[in-house]
Amino acid sequence: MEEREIAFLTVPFGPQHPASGHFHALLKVDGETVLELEPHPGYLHRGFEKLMEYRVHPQNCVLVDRADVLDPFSCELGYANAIEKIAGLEIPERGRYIRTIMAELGRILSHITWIGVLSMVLGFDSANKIAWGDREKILRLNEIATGGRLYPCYLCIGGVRRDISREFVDETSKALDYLEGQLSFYDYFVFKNETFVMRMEKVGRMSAKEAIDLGATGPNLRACGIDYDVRKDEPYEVYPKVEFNVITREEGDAYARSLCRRDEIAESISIVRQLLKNLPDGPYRVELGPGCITLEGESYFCLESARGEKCFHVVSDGSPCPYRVKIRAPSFLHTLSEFPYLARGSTIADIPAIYWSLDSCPADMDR
Amino acid sequence: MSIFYLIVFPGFISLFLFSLLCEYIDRKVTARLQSRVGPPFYQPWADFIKLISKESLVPTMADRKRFTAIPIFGIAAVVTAFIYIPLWSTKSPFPFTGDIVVVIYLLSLPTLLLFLAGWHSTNVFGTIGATRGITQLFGYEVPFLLALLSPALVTGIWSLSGILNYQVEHTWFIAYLPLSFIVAIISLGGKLERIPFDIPHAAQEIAGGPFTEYSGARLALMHLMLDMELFAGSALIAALFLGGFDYIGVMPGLAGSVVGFVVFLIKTLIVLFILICIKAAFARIKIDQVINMSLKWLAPMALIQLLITVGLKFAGVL
Amino acid sequence: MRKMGYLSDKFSRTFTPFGIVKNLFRKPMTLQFPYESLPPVEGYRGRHVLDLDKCNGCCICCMICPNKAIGLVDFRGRKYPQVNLGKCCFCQLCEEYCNVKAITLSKEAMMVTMDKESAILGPEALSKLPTQ
Repeated sequence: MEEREIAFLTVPFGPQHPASGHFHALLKVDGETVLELEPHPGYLHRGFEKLMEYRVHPQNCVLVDRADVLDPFSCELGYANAIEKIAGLEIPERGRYIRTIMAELGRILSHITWIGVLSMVLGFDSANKIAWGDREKILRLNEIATGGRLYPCYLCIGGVRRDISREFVDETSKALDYLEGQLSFYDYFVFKNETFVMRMEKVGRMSAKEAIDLGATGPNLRACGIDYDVRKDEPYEVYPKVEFNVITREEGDAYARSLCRRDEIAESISIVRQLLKNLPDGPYRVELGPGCITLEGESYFCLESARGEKCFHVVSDGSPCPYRVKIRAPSFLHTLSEFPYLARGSTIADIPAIYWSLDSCPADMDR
Repeated sequence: MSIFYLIVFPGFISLFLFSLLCEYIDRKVTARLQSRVGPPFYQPWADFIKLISKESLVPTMADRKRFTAIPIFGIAAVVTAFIYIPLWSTKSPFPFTGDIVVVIYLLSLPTLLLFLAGWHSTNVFGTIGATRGITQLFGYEVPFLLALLSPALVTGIWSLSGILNYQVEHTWFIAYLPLSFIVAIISLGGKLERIPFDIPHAAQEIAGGPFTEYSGARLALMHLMLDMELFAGSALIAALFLGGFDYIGVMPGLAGSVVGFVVFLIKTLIVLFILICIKAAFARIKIDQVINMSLKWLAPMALIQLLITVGLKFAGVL
Repeated sequence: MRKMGYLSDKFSRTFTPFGIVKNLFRKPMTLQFPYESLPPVEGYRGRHVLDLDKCNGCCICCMICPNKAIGLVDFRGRKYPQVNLGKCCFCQLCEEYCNVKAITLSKEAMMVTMDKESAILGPEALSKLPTQ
C-alpha cells in the first residue's frame, strides 16, 4: 500500500517570542493547519520545591510568591494555610478578613493582566495598553498595604504582617469604583468587539467530559458547564460568610472562557466590597513566640487561585525546614495536556488565542 | 523642470518628508487613542537614522543583490505612482489618459515585493508571512479596484486630471459614491497591512513575517516604502473622492496653488485619521476571515454602489 | 428572525468599538517619569537604614535573610551588617526579626547603579539616612 507523504514545516513557538510568555513548543504545520503540538516545558524551572527544603518557614513564606508571578497572593495563602493546618493555629478574624480581601484583589489583578496579554497576542494593541494602565490601580493598592508592588511578602504564618490603614480602605473603594467603570468599557470595546468575537468564538472547544479527563480546573472547567469552585465546595478563610455566584457557561470555547473571567472580575469586586463593609476590629496576627517554628505532620490544602485549583502538600518532620513541599500548579495541566489536545487541527493563527484563553502562567507551570 | 518634479517636488525628497510626517501623526494619534502620550515629532527621523547606522545582515543562503534590490524597487514604484497624483491643480506633472490604472498597478507592487522578500529570507516565518501576504492580495484587491475605479466607470474619464476637473465643475465624488469611499478606505487598510489586516507580518505569532531577516539600512528602506505607500494611498483616495485641492473660492496664481496644496494635505490627513481610528479599534483577524469579509461584504458593497450610481446616471437624475 | 438578530448584533459590534475616540479628549494616563511621579507611600520596602548605636551585632538579620544578602563586617571595632542590594529581595524579614530595631527599611527606591561593587553597602553607607 502506498503512503502519501505530507510535507510539513516545523515552526517554533517561543520561548523568545512576543506571544508565548516563556514557554517553548514545536508546531508541526501543513500550510496553515497545525498537525501536532509538542510542548517543551522547563524554561523557567528554578527547582522551587527543592529549594524550599533548605529554608525555614518564615523565609519560605516571603519567597513562595515567586511560584506564580501573576497571582502571588494565592501562593502565600496556600503555604501559610498548609503550615497552620499542621500546627493547628487559629487565626484572628481580622487577619482572615484581610487575607481574603488581598486574595480577591490578586484575582482581579491576574484577570486584568490576562485581558492585556490576550489582547496583545490577538493584535489588539489598544486593549493591551489600556489594561496595563488599569493594573496600576491595584498595584498601587498593593503598595499601600504591603510595601511592594508585585511581590507582596504580606501573608505570613499566623496572619498578616502589618495592619491595613484607613488610607487603604479609602483607596480600595475608589479603585473598585474605577474598575467597575472600566468593566463596562471592556464590555463594549473588547468582549463585544466584532474582531475579538471572530477570533475567539468556536475556537478551542472542550466538552465537559474532555475537560474533566484533561484535568482542567478554574474558569477553563467552569466554561464547559461544570459547577466546581473550591471557594464554594471546600471553603477556606472567610468565604462561607460572603455571598457570590459561581460563573459557568455552556459552550466551552475560548470566548466562553473569556466571558467567565470577565464575570469573575465583577464577582470579586462585589466580594471585596462586602468584606470591607464587615471588617472587624481586633488583632491581625497570632504571636508565635521566639525561636524557630518546628512542626511535625503533613497537610494538604486546596485553594482557588485565578488560574484554577492550587494545592499545597507540606510534609514536616520536626526540623525548622519542611521535609517536602509539593505545589499542584493549575497551569501545568492546562499547558501540557489541554493545550496540545486543543491545538490539533487548528490553524497557526488560533494557537496564541487558545494558549492565552487557557490562562497559563509559565512561572506557575515550571516552578 | 521634469528633473525637479521627479526628485524634489512632488518626487522623492518631498514624499520622503511627508511620509515621515505621516508616520509621526499615525503613531501620535494612535497613542492618544490608547490614552498614552506618544512619541515626539522627531521620532520617525530618529528611527530612520538609527536603523541606517546599524549593521545589515543577510542570511547565508539568500542572494545579497536581490535582498537589497527589493526595498529599492518598492520605493521606486511608490514614488513613480505618487508623481501622477495631482497635488495643487487639476494637472499632475505628467498627465496622460489612463494614468489612474498605472497608479493603482504601481501601488500593488509593494505587496508582491513583500512576498519576494519573505520567500528569499529562507526562514520559516518569512515563508509563512509571504504566503499569507499573497493570499490577502486575492482578498482586498477586488474591492479596492472596484471602489477606486468607480469614479472612472461612472463618468467615463480615465485620467486623474480629468476626474479632478469633473469634481471641480460638479460636486466631489463622495456625494455620488459614499459606499465606494468606505470600501476604498477599508481595502487600503488591507493593502497596507494595517490592523485589522496585518496578518502577514503578525509579530505576535510569526515574529515578523517577511521582515524577519531584514536589519539595518535594508529594514529602514522597507519601513520607508510602507510609509510612502501609506501617504500615496491616502493621497489617491483624497484626490479621487474628496476633490483633491478643491475648496470654496479657488484663487488663481501661485498663492492659489499653495493654498490648494495645503487643502490637499488636510484632506489626506482626514483619510489618514479614519485609517488610524480603524487601526485602534480592532484586533487582527485571521486570513480566511479576511478573504471571507472582502468577497462577501466589501466587493458586493462596491458593486451595488456602482450599479446604483450608473442606474441613476442613465435615468438622467445625476 | 434569528438571522436578523445575528446580523444586527454583528453590525453593532462593528461600530461600538469606535467609542474609543473619546480618549482623544481626555488626559493620557501616563506619568512622565522623572518629571512627574506618584509619591512613595509610607511603609514602602526600600533601602535599608542602619542605626549604628542600637545595633549589638547579634547577627539574627544575617541568619534570617532568605537570600544570604547580609554579612557581618568589622567597623569601628564592632561587628555590623553589610547588605548586598543585588541579592536582597526586600522582604523586610531582617527588620521584623531584629530585637532592637536597628535595621529598618526606608522609602528610598532609587538604587540603580552601573557596577556591582557599589551595590554592596557597608555599615557606614547604610547609616546615612535617605535623601528623599
